[in-house]
Amino acid sequence: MRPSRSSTLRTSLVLLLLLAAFSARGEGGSAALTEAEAVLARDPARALELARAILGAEPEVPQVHAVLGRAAAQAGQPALAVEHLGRALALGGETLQLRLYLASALWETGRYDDAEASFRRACELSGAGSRGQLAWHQLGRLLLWLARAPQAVEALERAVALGSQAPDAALDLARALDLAGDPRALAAFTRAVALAPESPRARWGLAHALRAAGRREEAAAELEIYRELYQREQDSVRNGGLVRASLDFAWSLLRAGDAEAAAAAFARLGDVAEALEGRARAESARGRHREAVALLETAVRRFPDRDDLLEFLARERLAALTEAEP
Amino acid sequence: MRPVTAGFGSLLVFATALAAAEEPSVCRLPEVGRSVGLVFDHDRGASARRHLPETMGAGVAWLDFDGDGWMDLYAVQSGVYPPTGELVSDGLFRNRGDGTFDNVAERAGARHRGYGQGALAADFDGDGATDLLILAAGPVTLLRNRGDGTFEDRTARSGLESATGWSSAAAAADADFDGDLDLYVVRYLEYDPAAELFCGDSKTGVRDYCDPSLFQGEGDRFYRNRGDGTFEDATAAAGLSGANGRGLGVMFTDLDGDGDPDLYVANDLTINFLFANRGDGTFEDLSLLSGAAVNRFGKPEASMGIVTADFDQDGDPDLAVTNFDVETNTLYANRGSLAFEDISAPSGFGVPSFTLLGFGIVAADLDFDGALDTFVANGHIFEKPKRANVAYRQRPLLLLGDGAGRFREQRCAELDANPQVARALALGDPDRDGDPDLAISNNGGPLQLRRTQATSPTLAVRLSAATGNPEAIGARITLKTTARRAVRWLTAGDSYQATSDKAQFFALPPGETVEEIEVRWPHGKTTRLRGTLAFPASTSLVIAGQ
Repeated sequence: MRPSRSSTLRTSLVLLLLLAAFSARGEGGSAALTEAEAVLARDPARALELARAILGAEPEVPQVHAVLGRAAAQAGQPALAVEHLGRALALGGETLQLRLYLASALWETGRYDDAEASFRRACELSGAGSRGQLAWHQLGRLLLWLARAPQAVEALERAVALGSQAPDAALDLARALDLAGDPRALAAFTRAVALAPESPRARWGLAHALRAAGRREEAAAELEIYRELYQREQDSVRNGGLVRASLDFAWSLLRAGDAEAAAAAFARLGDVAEALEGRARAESARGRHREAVALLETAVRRFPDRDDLLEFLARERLAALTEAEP
Repeated sequence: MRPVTAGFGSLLVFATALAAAEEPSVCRLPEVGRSVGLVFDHDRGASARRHLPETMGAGVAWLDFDGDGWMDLYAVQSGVYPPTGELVSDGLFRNRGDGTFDNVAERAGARHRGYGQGALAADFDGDGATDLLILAAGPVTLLRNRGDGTFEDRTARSGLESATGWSSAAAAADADFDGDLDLYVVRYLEYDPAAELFCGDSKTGVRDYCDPSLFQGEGDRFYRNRGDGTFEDATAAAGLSGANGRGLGVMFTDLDGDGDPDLYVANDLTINFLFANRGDGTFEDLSLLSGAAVNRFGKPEASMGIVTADFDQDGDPDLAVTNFDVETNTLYANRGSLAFEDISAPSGFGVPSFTLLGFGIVAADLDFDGALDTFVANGHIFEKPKRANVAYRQRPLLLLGDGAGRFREQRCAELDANPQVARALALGDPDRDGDPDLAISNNGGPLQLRRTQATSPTLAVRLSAATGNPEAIGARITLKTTARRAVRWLTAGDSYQATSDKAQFFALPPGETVEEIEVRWPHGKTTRLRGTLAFPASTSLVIAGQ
């Protein structure tokens, strides 16, 4: 079991976030809309809440529906995203970004023909350059997923032509060629590995193509590299997840009022930056401000742009002055 | 407004009735569990602490435990986690001889230790009475069938002491060709209920289940049968020491047609295993080289259940695997010489499962057209899945095959209207009408039985062998008709945490006549029944071997 999204859609999201960087800012005009857009990437639920509030006052503004739709898409509500992105479109708010979000949401809701049409319209809107590369790549991914190999090859060749150094597009083109039974697949996988030698999926594709070509020994060698890279990736995911869940455990203790246990739990995480902050907060809650100051001094060196930590450090320094000598 | 509402309601009812009336007969899969006496509610022990085992469900197994020729049903209970050490009572439903059941668990001694998971029914000691292995988060329990309708706990001194930790499922076959059934126990992960981890919303303090990727996989175990229903741990000797994925599903099948049982293991978030039997009960790891370890894109999936069947009717077993939502279920076509190709997308097998989280899977000819179909038991692990278009309770997935390896989903109003948190799934023929019915366990829910209703004559073939493997597990049955050649492999343990009936089911569409039935027994001998065999009505056939 796995409570995360597929690599296909995860990559789509990353691409869409990249696209967001291209998008015009402040289309809606209102400060609230700008705020909603600003928090969209890191807190889609909050963005959704803000956009809904604006919608009450401005029900016919396409930009509001667009932000709401994007927030819904990122919050895992594709049907809601389709509704509002579609509404934005109907209100005349068509943009490349809107089309891509709408297409991805349609894909997630199983409306594959509509998703394809929306991706194709995005391709028309995108022109050349990186925007075009993104649109054609997304269309190609959908077609590949639907096993429409010849059309996927066509779209992905367009994507690669517009961004030949893009490793993901190169890998997807190789996959599409492979699915189509095209002998160029082996060369395409070789190219994908050259662009992303640390990608286990590219390595696997190359191994698969080598095996299909009867080059079993070379395939086996690639598979060993795949196995190593894959294991590294697994370890990284596991370690990252363990640290997050351990930090959250410590935070939950602190929120529950058990500062001593929280401090100990944070301490067991060593000098992980967030653990230093958490430990400082736990020590502060225990009235041990000198310990908190020492920890915060380390933490602010790690997070120099965290104004809240600096303020917290200042408060703790003040509190430490009044703390009785040990 | 009232008349308008009533009129609209009537129209809806009419429309629904019309839609149901237009549905094909394959949609007539009535759920009859409670009405036939299968009164059993799974207790998952859902706690605020959200222990991962609570998401897994528990197994079902078809077996004729009292030897009366009618299939009985075993349902595993789970209870509280961590387990208390007390014995947990399961459900053992004795067939009254008419397809209805009595729960005789208490007097039959149907109990186990630990937090119940899968169930494997097989005759481990070769005495003609089917035994049971109950898997658990905790120690496994070996229940020896005394042959008088009761079981005794033979776990102590069974040699299965190393099957500790979290065992999800098991499969049996005579892997080393010594005439008795060996055992592969698949273990999930190293879960510590006291681990200082918080998964969920730390701001509100509401916990959810942790991602399995946080936990290390536990090594699987392979046991050789000593010939008397006790075992020795032969994991290392068989070359299986590296089998430490997060295993959930397992089955033995002769994947390369060389006569020995190979192994396929479905792992959660790690590569699936394919171990080729060298012919002597030792194995070679061909997982990655086979192409069946990851999906077409090189991605290990969150695999749960598995079934092997000849979906494209080319004579070899293909592999079907159920996965998490927003992945798709995966179909690997057997290309020969242990090479497999992921054809999930082009076959139509994968896309319909996009928003479903699959567990148990069976392959059977559910529309009685001569081609194998699949039925998948679905249900999420999270009560509030992260995506709005993914539900906790999910419809089962019915995919109709065309016999050439392509599938299309058949939606059925009644299945759609009764979503469940389904887990284990096993085929059995408790009413002896020659077609397979579906036993389904639901996580924290009722045991269900869905009855199929044959629209063509069917043939249920059972094997009986006078060896240490009386159920002839590992045999291959080939039915040649005037229109096709259908092959089935007799297995013990597949799907998810389940054991299906050992009978193999064939439909005979109108105009088809059986020309030959061939049985290749587990040790390679062959029995052939030749000549035009007429089966005007559904028939059960028992073929006895030497």
